[in-house]
Amino acid sequence: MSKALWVALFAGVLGVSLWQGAQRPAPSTPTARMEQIASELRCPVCIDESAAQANTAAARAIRADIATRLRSGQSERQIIDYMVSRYGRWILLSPPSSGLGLTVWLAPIAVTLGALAVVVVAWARAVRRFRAPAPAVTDAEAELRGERDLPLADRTQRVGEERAST
Amino acid sequence: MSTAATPTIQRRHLRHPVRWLAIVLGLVVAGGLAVMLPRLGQNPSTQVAADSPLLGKPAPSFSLREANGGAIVSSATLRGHYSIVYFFATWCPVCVAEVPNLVSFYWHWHTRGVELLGIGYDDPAAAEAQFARQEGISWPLLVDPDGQVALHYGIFGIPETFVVGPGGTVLAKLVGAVGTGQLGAVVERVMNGSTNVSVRGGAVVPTSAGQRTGSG
Repeated sequence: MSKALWVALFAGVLGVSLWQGAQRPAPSTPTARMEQIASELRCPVCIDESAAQANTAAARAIRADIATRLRSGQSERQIIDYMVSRYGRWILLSPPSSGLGLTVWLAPIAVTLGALAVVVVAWARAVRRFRAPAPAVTDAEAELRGERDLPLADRTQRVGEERAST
Repeated sequence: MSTAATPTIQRRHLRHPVRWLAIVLGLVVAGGLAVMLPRLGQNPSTQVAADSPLLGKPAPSFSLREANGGAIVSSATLRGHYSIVYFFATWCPVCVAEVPNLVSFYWHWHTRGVELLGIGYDDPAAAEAQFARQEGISWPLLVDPDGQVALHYGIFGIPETFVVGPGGTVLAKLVGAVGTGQLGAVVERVMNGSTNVSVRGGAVVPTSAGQRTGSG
């Protein structure tokens, strides 16, 4: 299989995985909807606990308020926007997928792709070196190149890198 | 022998795309950790709480009964006055300790038209009424039975204090205990035209500290 095909296959699998991961099953009951929204909000008086998990008065008040707003026909977006208007963006358990918050979502993907690029490039270079080993550099050649003082291993490496980069 | 050539080799190595990519990735990861690590486990009752999104916005309206069973006090009655709305609880030692500061504030500023209102947080009416009698509190203490008003004000901990202007706009927020004179200084600032004043005061008690099973 060609290299391009492998890359296309990998990109396809990665895309499908990310898309699947972003999908959430729609909650079926009002209580489930309330809990799902509450799970996206921090408990204001807790440390790294959601309003759905916490059993504080503040978390209970948030859950009750969400339920009331759902009954009055408000959407999830409207409810979350209301909470942000009271507590600020801090109340969001996950960073928003827009503005500066978008970088938090994209950074792991960028780092993963970057790391993969490092591996692919390193692998390709290793294969090229393996297939076309650098010739030994004689003292006379090294003299011409101004590398007479370099150890043999360094001369060989430099020649190999020059060949690999062309 | 080979030391003279070493810098040349190092420069060549840095030109290597893999190494540059690794350096960039390392910097991205290090930068991300530097930003995120200090935030882990951060107590919200800090500057985050003081910088309320309500500053400059209309104060949330409310209509709550006084703890002594008396009148229902509505936020609409505060219109036309500078008013102080503070959230407290009788089980909060910081709130109890700051009562003398509030008493002296009230006697000085009430005669100048400033209203003071306390809203109890996760606190039964009877406890608030007894607290008012014990401490000689003459301003209204209101009961917020389900914590909804506290939610509308975005309370992170207690005590938290809001200064509302005559037009009903939130002009200042103080987080934590207000020292002697601190609240008065903030009121003077807003009366002189300052807006969006956020102040970190003394100690803050997370509102979860008063959690009682079965309450709410």
